[in-house]
Amino acid sequence: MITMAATVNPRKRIRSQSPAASLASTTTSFRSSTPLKLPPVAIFAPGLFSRGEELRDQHANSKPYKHCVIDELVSDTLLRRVRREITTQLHFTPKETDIYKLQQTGDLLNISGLPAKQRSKLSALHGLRDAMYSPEFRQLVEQVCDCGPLSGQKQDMSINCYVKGSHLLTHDDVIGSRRVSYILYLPDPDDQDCTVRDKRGRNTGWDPNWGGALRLFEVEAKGAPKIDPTLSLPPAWNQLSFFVVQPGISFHDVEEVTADKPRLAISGWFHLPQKGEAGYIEGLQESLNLESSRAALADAAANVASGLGELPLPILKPDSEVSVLSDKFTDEERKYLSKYLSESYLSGKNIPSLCEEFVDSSLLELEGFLNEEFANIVKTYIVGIESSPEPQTAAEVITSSPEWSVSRPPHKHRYAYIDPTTVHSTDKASPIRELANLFTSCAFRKWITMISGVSMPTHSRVLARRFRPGLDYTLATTSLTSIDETSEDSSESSGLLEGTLCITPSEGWADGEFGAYELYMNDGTEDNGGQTDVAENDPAVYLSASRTKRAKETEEKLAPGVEIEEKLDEESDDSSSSSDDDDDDEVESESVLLTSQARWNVLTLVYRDPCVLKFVKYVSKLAPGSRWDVAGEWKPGVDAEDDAE
Amino acid sequence: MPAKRRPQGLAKSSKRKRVDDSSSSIRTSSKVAVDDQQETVEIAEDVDADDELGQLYALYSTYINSTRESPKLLHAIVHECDRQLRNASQPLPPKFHKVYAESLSMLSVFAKKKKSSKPHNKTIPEESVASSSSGTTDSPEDFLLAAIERAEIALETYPKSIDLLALRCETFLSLVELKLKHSSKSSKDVEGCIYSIQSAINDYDKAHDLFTTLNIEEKSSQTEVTDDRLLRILTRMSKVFETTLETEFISARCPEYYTWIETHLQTELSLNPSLSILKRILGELYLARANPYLAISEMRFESDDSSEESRNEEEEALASAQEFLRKALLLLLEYESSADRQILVLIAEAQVSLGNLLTDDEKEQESLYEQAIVRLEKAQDLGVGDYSEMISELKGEHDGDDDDDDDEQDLNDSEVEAAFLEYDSEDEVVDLDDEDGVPDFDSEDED
Repeated sequence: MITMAATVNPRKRIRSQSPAASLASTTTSFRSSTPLKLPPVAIFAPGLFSRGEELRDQHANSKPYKHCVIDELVSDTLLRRVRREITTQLHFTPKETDIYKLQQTGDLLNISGLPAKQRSKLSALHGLRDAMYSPEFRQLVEQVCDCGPLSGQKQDMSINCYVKGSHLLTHDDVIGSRRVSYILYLPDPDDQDCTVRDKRGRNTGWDPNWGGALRLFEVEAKGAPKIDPTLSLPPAWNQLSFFVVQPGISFHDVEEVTADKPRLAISGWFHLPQKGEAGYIEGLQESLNLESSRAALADAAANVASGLGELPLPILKPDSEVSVLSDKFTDEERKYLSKYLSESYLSGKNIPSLCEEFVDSSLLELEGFLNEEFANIVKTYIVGIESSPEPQTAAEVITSSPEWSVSRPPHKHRYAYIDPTTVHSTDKASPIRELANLFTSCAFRKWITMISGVSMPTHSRVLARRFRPGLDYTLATTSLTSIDETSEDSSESSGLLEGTLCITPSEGWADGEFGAYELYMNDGTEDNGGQTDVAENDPAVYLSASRTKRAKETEEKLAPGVEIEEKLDEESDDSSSSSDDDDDDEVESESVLLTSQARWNVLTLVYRDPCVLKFVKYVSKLAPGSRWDVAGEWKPGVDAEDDAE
Repeated sequence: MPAKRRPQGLAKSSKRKRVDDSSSSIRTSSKVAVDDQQETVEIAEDVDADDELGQLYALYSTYINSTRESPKLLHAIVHECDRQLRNASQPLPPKFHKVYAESLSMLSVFAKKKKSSKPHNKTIPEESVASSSSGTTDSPEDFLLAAIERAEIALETYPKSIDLLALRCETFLSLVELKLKHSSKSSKDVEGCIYSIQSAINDYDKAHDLFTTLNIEEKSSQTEVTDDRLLRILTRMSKVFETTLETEFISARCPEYYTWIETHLQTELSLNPSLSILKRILGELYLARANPYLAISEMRFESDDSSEESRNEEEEALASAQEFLRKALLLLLEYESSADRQILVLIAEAQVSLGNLLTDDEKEQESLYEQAIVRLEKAQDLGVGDYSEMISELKGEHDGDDDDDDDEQDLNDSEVEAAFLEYDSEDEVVDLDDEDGVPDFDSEDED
């Protein structure tokens, strides 16, 4: 019987083999095998491993922070094979969050778990993955970056495809045990539309005019990246860019792709050595994480002190004249509001029903908010501005019109804005500034009190904003707190009243394809009694507001091999899935509470719970114009009735 | 003077709206069903005609004590709950919400499963369909989700209601059971279970903690939950976890679930040593826990991969499989009773599985096989099932070769790989960019 068991063992279990058992079998039996059994030196370009010193020098002398670009990483033949495997066998899933819009495969770690037949179709990719994490290549990266030992065990790699409109906004890549970020570009090396050649006269496969560059940001101080990027590294066939992940320093983004070309890239991270590996230090990761979060707080404080802090100030300031306000409009106030608001929204007949609706749903969308006369004035003014090319840099914005500034830091937001509380030097306020002034007025605060049913606001922040195509956005954040609010207070905050008057005159925004929509989403803590399901409520992730037909077509074109990708997804687990951006899956649409597309003359009034995140999606370079709005945030006061409760 | 109404916030309003929407869609069907039939329900209890809540509870109690073969009464209860909720001028008691949520949950049994793209999905028989002739398509999931949301809202007002916590826990479990039963075992379907499993665990723990703080009198006066019911919930959870062990996704991602259930069952067993059924439940859990490791350790018989990493993994799996099987066997043997005929098969399974792993100890292997044969023969005699083929195999009377197909598949895959690796040589570095001798992967790869 021993002999029988040792050979085939006919005595299987009484229950028939379960699906899980068969899955476990395939996963296990091939986990350690590599179909392409080439030594790493044969996978990489000839001579790569003798370039250590040269690359080390390049890295040491690079700016704005240390990085390295290897112009020919892998054997050309192998990489062409890898590219063919990717384009014929893998399925890409479109993903869109506040910080990115791209298409992505599952985690390449999961190739190992595929059935042999499917795995064999990805043998070159499998071989490349293993070579990237081989001791030889890791040693080269360690030598170049002087970053200490890297893990071979924790492999973290996926394929991103940036199609027209795809982008990735500013971030520093600091998550968990990431040590070195890398991107290996695989644009089509035979693309005849590309006329750019490398040093050896070969097609780079990518024209920088198509966008898609990796852009690095210089920091003015740790945690304070400059508003505009300082170095642009366009993709090129077989080029590897990599840099050490440095908290508060290694800020970068991926410029939006504007051509109808797929910008393929394999990207990932080398991690700190894991338990059981050489170089593993017990508690190092935890201490680095703690250190970096402490340092981030200290840096933020130092930056504020040295004038490099966030702008506009992320706080609500106390409002004046609160105590003298009565419930009703004075004649003067009514006259003032009539200059701007449509009569229907001032009518004593309509206000109670609007208020009732708002109390029920915490949301009002008031179309035709501005009366026709003033709306026309605003439209004429904005259309006039848009007839000239939009200013690109912060300096250009201020030069073109001194009342405008550009927000910072770019890993939180970038947009041009007017803060109505700042001193205005010119004689006549522009119509947009007038609107911002309206939002700060006592009369308007009375009006929002009547229409929303909340108590008279005590603190507020009002901004007129312009989100320029190809530049501007806000990333998801929770509500602002008041300048005189302690952290304890803010945690108990009951919510904020927020009104955004969208005054975007251009058309073509309805399907969200060009971004610029304002989105409110639940961060998951409210719905689940404080317990967040990672997969369903990751605050950085939401379902695409509009997955266009074109995106679907691109996806299909790229993905005849759906089966394999399904397997990759199945094998994926949250801790290991990856992209150059964030490790996310799409969430249930239920977490999205409101998507408000850019449009003309609509006031969206929201009572925002503390658990609700909000952002304005990056405006595509291909958009028909800028998004314009006036945004007010008001903290309702506590009245006697509330106190009693 | 009534308090001035204030907006609740976008998230809260949205949540309320979702609940209202789901309830109203379900309501529509219930109303039609009830109205169409125009039936009068006779309430067993004597209740004041003006006591709306009392009438409702009596209606509910009538259903609970009935044969529960028809959804009509449940529709009526849901309808009445909805009406009372809309007309309520003051907060309704937790029992009301419990009745509402539980009725929604029970309606899921009668609901028709939504048409799925997966052709193998089973559907509930037509005759037990809850939805009315109006053609509404509320699925079992819809009813369960509506029940969970109803309980959730009530728990915002009554966060320490043991009844509501237990009910929500059971409803989450129903949702998981439904998903595991009707979905394919692919991770995408199962992924949705994790949140529900975690929620069920949280609710159970909360309910259990609150329950244990009560003395006997308080238990009978303050809650309908009993020790038995909590134990039943734990048993259901154990069965759910056993099923999830068939899916690598959950078992690999959430190993803590198994520690949780194991600890709870062991604690219950130590507190109630006379409850021998707990031994069987725990034994079955251990048997299921061995399964993934069995699959891995069996690869050593079937795989030609002899790398050190692979060997280590198999050795670890072998040790884990043995450990779980021995634990399972110990408990199942302790439990073994003539009143439970199925246990014979379970024990035999554990013995055969363990025996298969003991290739270094022929004596114990033989002994386990012999014991398994005895039990299987007994089970067969008692009419539990037909195990003749297995008994023959164990007796060495039949040398099946059920792996023929797999071998062939492996061979084909190997051939594909061999073709691709034709240029591979461990002694010679292949220069893929050598222009004179570039291996032409393209011409070889087309299959």
